[in-house]
Amino acid sequence: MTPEVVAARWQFAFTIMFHYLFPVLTMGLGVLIAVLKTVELRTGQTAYGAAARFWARIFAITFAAGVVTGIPMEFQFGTNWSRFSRYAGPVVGQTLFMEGVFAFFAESSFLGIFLFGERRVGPRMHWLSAVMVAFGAVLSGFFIVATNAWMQHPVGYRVAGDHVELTSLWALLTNPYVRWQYPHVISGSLVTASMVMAGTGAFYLLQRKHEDAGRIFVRVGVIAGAIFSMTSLFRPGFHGENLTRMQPAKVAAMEGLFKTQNGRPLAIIGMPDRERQELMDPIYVPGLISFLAYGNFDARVTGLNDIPPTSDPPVEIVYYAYHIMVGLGHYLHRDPERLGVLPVARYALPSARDALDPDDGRARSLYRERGRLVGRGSGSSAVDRVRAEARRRVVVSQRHGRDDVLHAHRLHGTVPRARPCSTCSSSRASSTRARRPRVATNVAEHGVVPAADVHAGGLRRARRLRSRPGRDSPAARPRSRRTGAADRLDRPGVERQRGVAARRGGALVAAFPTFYAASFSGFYLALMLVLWLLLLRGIGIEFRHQIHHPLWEDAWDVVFSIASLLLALLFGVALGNVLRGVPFDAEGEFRGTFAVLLNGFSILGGVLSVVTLGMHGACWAALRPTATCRRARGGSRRSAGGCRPRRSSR
Amino acid sequence: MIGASFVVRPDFTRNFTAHVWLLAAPVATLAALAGARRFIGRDDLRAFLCSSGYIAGILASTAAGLYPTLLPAAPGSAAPGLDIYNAAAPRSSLLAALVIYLVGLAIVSVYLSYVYRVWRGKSGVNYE
Repeated sequence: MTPEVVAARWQFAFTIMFHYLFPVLTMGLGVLIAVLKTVELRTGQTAYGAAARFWARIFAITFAAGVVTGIPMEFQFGTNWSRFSRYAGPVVGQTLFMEGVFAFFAESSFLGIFLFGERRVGPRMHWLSAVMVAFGAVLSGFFIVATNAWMQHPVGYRVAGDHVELTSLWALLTNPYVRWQYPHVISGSLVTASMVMAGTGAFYLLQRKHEDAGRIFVRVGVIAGAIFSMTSLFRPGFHGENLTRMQPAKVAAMEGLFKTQNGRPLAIIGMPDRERQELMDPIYVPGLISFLAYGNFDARVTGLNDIPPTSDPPVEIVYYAYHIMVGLGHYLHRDPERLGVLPVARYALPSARDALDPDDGRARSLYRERGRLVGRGSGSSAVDRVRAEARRRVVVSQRHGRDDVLHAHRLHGTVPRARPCSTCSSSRASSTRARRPRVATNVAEHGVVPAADVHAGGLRRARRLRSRPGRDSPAARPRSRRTGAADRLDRPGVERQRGVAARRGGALVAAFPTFYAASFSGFYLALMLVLWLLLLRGIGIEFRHQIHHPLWEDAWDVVFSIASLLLALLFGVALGNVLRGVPFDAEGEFRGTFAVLLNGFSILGGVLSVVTLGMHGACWAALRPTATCRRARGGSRRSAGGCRPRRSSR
Repeated sequence: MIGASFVVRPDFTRNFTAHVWLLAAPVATLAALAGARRFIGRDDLRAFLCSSGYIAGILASTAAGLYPTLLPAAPGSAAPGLDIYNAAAPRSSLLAALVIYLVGLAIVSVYLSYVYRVWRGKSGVNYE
């Protein structure tokens, strides 16, 4: 491996690990929010509605973080693993595309309704939006897991020259691997969210703050956690059975099996030593692996000595990650008996409410324990990812047969190793805006996105001007995020628009994999810049609302505005380069530096883009507010005046 | 910019001379621009629509001029540029993507139009 490949792998590994922390929480949290709303709708207890609102805000921030950390992943399919995109794009692009069209769009649109539309839609519609957010999040996980499952266990495809072709979409979605992997991922996510909810409630109760809310959090979190940690207890075994058949190398590395043998014992503890080809100081449970895999204590289990050297997995990483996961997982499973079932019995009964009395010493210790479990739930999920990903590189290779692997190595360089990620893979970011694969896909996307965003930019300016008179008098400032007029103006839209820029990825991979591969790896620096700007915009708009202080708000407004401006410029530069053409080498890869892309013509395109989108944003800012805002709008026009059409560039 | 486009890409006129009706795109773009200029400050809705049309027009004109190229090669490149034929996914993938797109967009348009209906009308300042 060249240093570049090592660096690319580190970069990608960091990206997916960091990203996965967020969707794992939102998938489960979405379901719990829907549960809270259902209780509110059925019983009329408004406290549950308030709890749902509280968690919806946590959800929104986590969702935003998931989007901004997912976008780099989507980009890195193209920038780091362009040959993988070219090779597997016709298949994996489909599921990524479906995730965007069917799941992400629903999730983000209904999240907008849930967060900002409670007073505009009826209670039933508000409940439905919570259910749709949960549905979108969980469905989104499905498509991403299906993408990952194909990389683990490819189905419904054939190899045609230097790429694969999809032969059956149905097979891709009903991959036997998905049936095991998906419940595993979802139950892990539900346990994590339950722990976070119960832990937060326990913290409030210990702090004697918001005790009513804390009780609800603990009650719902503990019940859900107890149920889902029980269901996830049985899954790894079934999944293990599946793995043994489909990916013996993975199981061998997970369990530290160096030699093929009958009646394989399960090592509870031990250190794999690759040089001596054995597990040092093990504690064994006789025959258990054979039993878990084949239902027979004497069954023969393949060891690493029978795995072809080309598929040789990195034993230590896989082994330790797997054992840490199992250890953490079992710590959680111990929980239902000690911490789960008893409190469930107590909390679930309304008459036993005094059992929640924070003065009760026993209850306090339970709450503390609950707080510690929060970390363990997330930790277990993250480590699980390492385990799953570290093993992945061998997989498609095995399915293709050894000759194909070598062929693939030669042909695609990093392909067999560059298996992009997983469950997490761009849970949000990979989403694709539903867009027809057409000539100007990239052109249209580049153009439309900033146009929509500049709306928000224009509004932001308008809002700042509007709110300035009241700045010195706190009473005149909007008290509530939900009732601020400016929020109603732009936030629902922004909620939807947030991930739009990245959503073209799935559609592009599906329709024009070569274009995706060539342009993403070629425009590396430019895309990293775009990425940073997108992140700054996402962070800017989300963080701005968290602290109501002029300094804080202004700082993020400036960040948001500058990032928007530069994005508009960059998209224009991109359009200019698409018109002008870029240098390709003999392999059809773009060769050139960022400086090549910054030429007179493309900069002219960038200026045109800024002017055009500025005009568009100003028009939108003029259109939307009511007459009472018009005075302020006059101000906004002046401020946007620099962008108003002078057409000097034409 | 228009002038410069012909300088860097002399074959930009090829599609327009071969299919005269494609000239509708640049003509509409210029019309929208003129409209935006006229309506700004007078009729906000029309100004906005013209501005939208202008942006769509720029993109449509670029697409019409470049078709079928996606990413042209600069002079001196060793490989030809990417067009929709050499960059496209296999037929089966394109077909699946089209079906996904049509079904997905039908669903999306339903709830998206609901969202826009919920937030229809003007937004006012409302400091409660």
